[in-house]
Amino acid sequence: MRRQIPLLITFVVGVIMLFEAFIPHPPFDQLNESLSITFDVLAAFAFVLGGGNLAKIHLAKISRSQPGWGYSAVTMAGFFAMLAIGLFKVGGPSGVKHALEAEGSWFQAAYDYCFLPLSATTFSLLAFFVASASYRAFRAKNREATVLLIAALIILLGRTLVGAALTETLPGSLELLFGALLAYLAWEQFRSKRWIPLALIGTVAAFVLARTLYGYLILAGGGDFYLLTVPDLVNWIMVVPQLAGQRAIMIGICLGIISMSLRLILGVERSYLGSDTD
Amino acid sequence: MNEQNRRFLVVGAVGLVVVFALVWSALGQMEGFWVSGSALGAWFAAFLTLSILSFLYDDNPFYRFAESLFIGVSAGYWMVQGIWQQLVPNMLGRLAPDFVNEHLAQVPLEVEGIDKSMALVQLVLGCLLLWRLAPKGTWIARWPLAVIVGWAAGTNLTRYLVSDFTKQVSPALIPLVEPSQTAFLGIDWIGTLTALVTVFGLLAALIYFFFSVEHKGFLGQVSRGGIWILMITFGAAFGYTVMGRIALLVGRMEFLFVDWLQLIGP
Repeated sequence: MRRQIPLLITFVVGVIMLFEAFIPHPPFDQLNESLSITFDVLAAFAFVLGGGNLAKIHLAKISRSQPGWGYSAVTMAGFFAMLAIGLFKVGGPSGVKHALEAEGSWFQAAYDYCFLPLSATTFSLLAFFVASASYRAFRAKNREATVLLIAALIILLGRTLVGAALTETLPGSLELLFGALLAYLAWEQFRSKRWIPLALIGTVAAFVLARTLYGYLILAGGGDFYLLTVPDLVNWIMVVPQLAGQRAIMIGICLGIISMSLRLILGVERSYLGSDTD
Repeated sequence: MNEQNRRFLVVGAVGLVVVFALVWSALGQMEGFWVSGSALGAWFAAFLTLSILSFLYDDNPFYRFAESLFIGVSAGYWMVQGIWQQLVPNMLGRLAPDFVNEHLAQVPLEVEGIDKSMALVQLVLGCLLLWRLAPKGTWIARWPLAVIVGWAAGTNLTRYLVSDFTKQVSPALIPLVEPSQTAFLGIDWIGTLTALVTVFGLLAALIYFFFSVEHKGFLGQVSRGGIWILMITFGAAFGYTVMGRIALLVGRMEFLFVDWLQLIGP
């Protein structure tokens, strides 16, 4: 009974939700609406459960005077203060019929002067840690890591003013870089004596470099001799190769979700029930 | 430098900033915390911001205080939001609509023709979920959990099939060569390159995720191309993440130097 009934509930609710997608008519559409509201309500109860669990753990720590109990007291003070001013809607218009975010409400003040600075600063700290961790992790150790770094660098340049300014003041700079990269790859092919790739890459490199040098030397930088700007390149990366990779990831995730959903509905996956000792 | 000296350094640095701010406000260059409620709030927000930033040097009591407060405040914040946004209108409002309309609801709820049975079921399931906190019989919380899991599994199966599968596959089924009236050989070369990368990039990345066959020979080469496509995707995601975090940091610096210390004009 402890395991069979939950499995039955999961099966029934899952099948109803599946049916609703294919038969959007009564009673399935009404059941879908009711179950969706039930899900939202249970999610709210889960917040209450989370708060209760937090209080249970930290109050036990305080009552036993365990190491760090002072910080638990701070946590509990913040928790109960937020709860009290939110539930009783302290401050603002009289009564509790006004919005939580009403002018002068303490809940809004607690959000503005406590919750917002804490969350924004905590997440902004990640800027430093992401930078240092990525330096250690992706130090261009191999070609794949180099591709990742170059893509990130181009995105960072292109989505800020620096990228636009770079190709405005130095038109054709991207073509020169691209040509130099191709020339390096052609040199690698020459050293490995791979003549067909050398011919292909070498031709493209020569074309790109010759076209850009023609723009600089003959047209003296005038005319639209350049093909690429950093913002255009970023747009192309975002819409073409980046999207192709993202689509592959999304398709993979989707297949995983479908298989996991079927396992849950059919009762094959039971880990969410926990152990029998509960 | 030992741990005690480090702590003294952090406490000294924060103390120095506070002394500077006090002198600065006494000189009338910025609002002192005693001026108004919002000024007091700004001082407290600045203290919390500096406390969190102090972790960049080392772990210290200021950071731990701010971190503990953050945990408590955010738990309370989301609990209050859940109660007022979901429990009151969707459950209590159906069980006792007249009471809610008279005492709690910001916008009056509909009273006529309400089905109370579903709200009762929600109340019972919610109480069963909270039973998890009780010392005995916590297994009963599996019943509401089963509703949540069943709902999520049934909904996500069809939702993701549409959004993450069919809607992702169809834009990749496109002509590989883009014709053009004016371009060289009647082909739009950039458009063709774009179409080729779109189609073969997706295929290559999908082949990288296909583990049923060993990635050797031709399949190995294609899979390697798939890794490059994925690396570009991860690089873009990484770039955007860094930019987002830096934008947050700029926001906090703006708060400290413009809104609080008023060293820089708005």
